[in-house]
Amino acid sequence: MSRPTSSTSAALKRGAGALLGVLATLLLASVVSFVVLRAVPGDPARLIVGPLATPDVLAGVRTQLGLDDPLWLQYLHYLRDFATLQWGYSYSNGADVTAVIAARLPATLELALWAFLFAVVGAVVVATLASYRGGALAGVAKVVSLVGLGTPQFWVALVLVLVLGSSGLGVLPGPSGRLTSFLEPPPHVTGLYTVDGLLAGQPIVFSDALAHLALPAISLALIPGAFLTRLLTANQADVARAPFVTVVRSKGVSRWAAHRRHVLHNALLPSLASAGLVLASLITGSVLVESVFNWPGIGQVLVQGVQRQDFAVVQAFVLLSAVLYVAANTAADAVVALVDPRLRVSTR
Amino acid sequence: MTASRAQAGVAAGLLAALVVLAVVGLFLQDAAVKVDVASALQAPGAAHWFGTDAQGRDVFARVAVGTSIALASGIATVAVGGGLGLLIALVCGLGPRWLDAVLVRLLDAVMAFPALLLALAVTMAFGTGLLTALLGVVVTVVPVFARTLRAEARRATSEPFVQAARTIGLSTPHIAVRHVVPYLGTTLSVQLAANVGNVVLVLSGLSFIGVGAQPPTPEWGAMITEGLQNALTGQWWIGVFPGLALLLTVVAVNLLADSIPAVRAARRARRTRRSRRPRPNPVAAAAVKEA
Repeated sequence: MSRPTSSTSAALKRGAGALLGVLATLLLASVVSFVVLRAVPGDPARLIVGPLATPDVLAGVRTQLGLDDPLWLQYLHYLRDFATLQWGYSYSNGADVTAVIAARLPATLELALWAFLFAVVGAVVVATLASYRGGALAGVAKVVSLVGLGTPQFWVALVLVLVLGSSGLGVLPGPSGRLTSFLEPPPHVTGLYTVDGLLAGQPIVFSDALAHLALPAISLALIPGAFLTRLLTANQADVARAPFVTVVRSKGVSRWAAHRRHVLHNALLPSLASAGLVLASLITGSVLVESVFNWPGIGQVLVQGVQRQDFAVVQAFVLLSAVLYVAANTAADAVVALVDPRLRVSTR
Repeated sequence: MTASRAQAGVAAGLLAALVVLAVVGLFLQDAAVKVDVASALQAPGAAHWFGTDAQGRDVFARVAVGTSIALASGIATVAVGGGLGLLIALVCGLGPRWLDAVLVRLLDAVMAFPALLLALAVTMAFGTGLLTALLGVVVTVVPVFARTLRAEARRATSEPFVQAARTIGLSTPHIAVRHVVPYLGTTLSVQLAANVGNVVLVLSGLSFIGVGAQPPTPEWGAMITEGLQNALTGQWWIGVFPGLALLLTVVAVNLLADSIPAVRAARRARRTRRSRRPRPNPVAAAAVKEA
């Protein structure tokens, strides 16, 4: 009985060590972001009050922003404000950045979730077929994933609108936001129109929201989908060569059943480790794709913030993206370690 | 092995075509910015192969100039970022352990930011423009090189040839440059090629958002932004052609990067086979004679 407890305490120790490492990375990331913020050649106070303000007003804003404090104190304030979700006020219109991001979050979240779904389903289907059938199909899958990884998402968005949107075949709505204008948004439960539409029993809202989602979600899904396809194809090829698959086959399991039950399942787990990368590509993609489709999400706020030289919006978003990336990676590592007993043995 | 050689061939062919386009672009710089309102928004045809944009500028000339901008900035960024990354990797790999630990933490922190967003923040901080965008992208590329090459450099230090070099008293910088850098060759060349594609994508993304190259410059991302304004009224060619050039560039470079390890391994195998066959090893022959 003493063995398991010592191994759990070792696991706890390892977990605590990993957590400390993650915290150190996050702290350093906040330093990086603070340094970039401080690297602004212009005076942030001057950017806020405009070129015509009197020196008194300028000095007032400087004091209010804490720009006269020593740098280390400014950094501590910066850290405190970020951690307590006080991400400052927009330089251009004074709006509370946290409130703006919170209001826009559901739209981006809905888009990202559907894109994620498209990417995962597409990748699993293509990669499984490619590694099961092999031959020409595998070649095609490889080329498609290589091309997919090289696509500029904002350009794909443009082409999709041109071909399938209102100015092309007219199959799907063009860049017109989340719903057709005569439809009322469904009652707010989750903020995701497709989910809320179903919950409220409004199939028209659901299908309309899905139609509006389709093109931006496909553009967004392309890069993570291509990436996952490559990863899953390689993983399945590795697992398919493992001796245990031969054993399973020799017991009379059909090739397809062995592939689906054993090869695919074992190939899926390691791809969890790339959760952070997929999340990062969804965040980046939303910045590039949302403005093409007039999608009222965070990415569009960021692009508008960039065009108005609004540092408060951009800085909050950039640091937030790093925190999300690190969090996703840590969570994925933890899940893999919990689920996969081989890792527990091999790291000891 | 033949598949990867065919792949390398396709990539090389595509890249050669793009280089030709870029060279053509060098001679079309005036045409690319010449405004001619009388011939605005013409569809692709004999007079204008890729049509004209809202200000009557020739889209083919603009795509060609864009190619030279993209290739030049992609290669320059990766060369600078790769050089700095290699330097950091050597310091990490051959330097003291504590320095390695500190640098790796810092690199991880920088890599926690999605590349486009970090480049965006840096570019905004130093003022928008193509040059500051290049700086922003370099910041994101350095840790990618440093992190991958560092692992290889660390592995090199436990290889016999590095330990032998230490034993005969060679200095650390000498070992780093003459022995570890060649050891990193394959990884470095793959990283160089793979990152050109990423860098070109991020740069065009920055210009698309509006922080990179500014409108009159015929940069692909900026051109796609302009093309968006005309997309809904049917002038598809303004945005589609620059994006196509961008896609082909990134795919060509990625294909090349993907085929490098196999091609290099094949070449090495050929060389060892050739050297084994006819010529006796002079050192071994001398040793035999002495004995």
